[in-house]
Amino acid sequence: MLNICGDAVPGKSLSGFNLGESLSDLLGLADTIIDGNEIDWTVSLVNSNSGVLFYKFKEGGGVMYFADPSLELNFNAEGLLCTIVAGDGYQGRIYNELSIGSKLGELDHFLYLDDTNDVHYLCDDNENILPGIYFIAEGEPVEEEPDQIITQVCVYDRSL
Amino acid sequence: MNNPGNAYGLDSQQLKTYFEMNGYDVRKAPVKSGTSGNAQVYDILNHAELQKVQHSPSTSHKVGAERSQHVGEYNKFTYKSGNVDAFGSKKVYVIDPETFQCTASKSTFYNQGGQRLEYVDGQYQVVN
Repeated sequence: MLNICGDAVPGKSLSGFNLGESLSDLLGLADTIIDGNEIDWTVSLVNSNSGVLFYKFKEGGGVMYFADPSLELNFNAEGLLCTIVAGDGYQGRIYNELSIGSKLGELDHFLYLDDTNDVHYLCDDNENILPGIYFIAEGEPVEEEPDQIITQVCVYDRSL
Repeated sequence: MNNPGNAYGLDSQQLKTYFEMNGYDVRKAPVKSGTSGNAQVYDILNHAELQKVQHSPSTSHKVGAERSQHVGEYNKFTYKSGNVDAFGSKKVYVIDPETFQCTASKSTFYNQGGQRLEYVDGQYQVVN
């Protein structure tokens, strides 16, 4: 169930949705369904969405896009929710009291910038990545650009 | 970086070979445990300006955790500290604007034809 204030819980949930939820239980939320057998995925499909769009992949699974708040629910080939990305309009807490729009430098934790994907992971004192959540800002090291704004957060479970 | 469009479509092995044929010492960069690992990155040890090159294949047909943050295929060139391109950027991306999602700061973007792009309202437009 969508909850724009539902907090981010690493590896578990975001915006009221729980990782592992079944596509069959959520597909009814979509007002538009696009079949990947007929139309290739492009960014413009997402940008032109004004409601809830589900893009169905040829191999099974798909992505559900909410326009407001900006949400992306990724379902694996078995139809299980494995990644949730939230952006504009999402009002939940993403780390302690921080939310979308906070400065990355306010996140009082060690971060690792994966500059191959321009995302920031939480990591421990030994620079090991703590799985289950990452943050999207401007793709710069937090040490150099602490004022960069967090624009999206992703909660994931790569075992799904 | 005079003809960035030429870089689009080169896979990681082709990028590596290109730099090796031009006399550069190219080493595969280690993959950090816990990251998605969908990109191939090479350090260019003896280049005067560039630090590393990256190829990220398209994940637009991938589902779940195999789908990358930027989705579409791209090549990325990162300058060494203190070096920037003609537009003051530390990074250069050559992308397919139809499938490349999101953006990054301090970066210059080109399409497959080498035209410079700007990111406006969630999509890329050619700079006139």
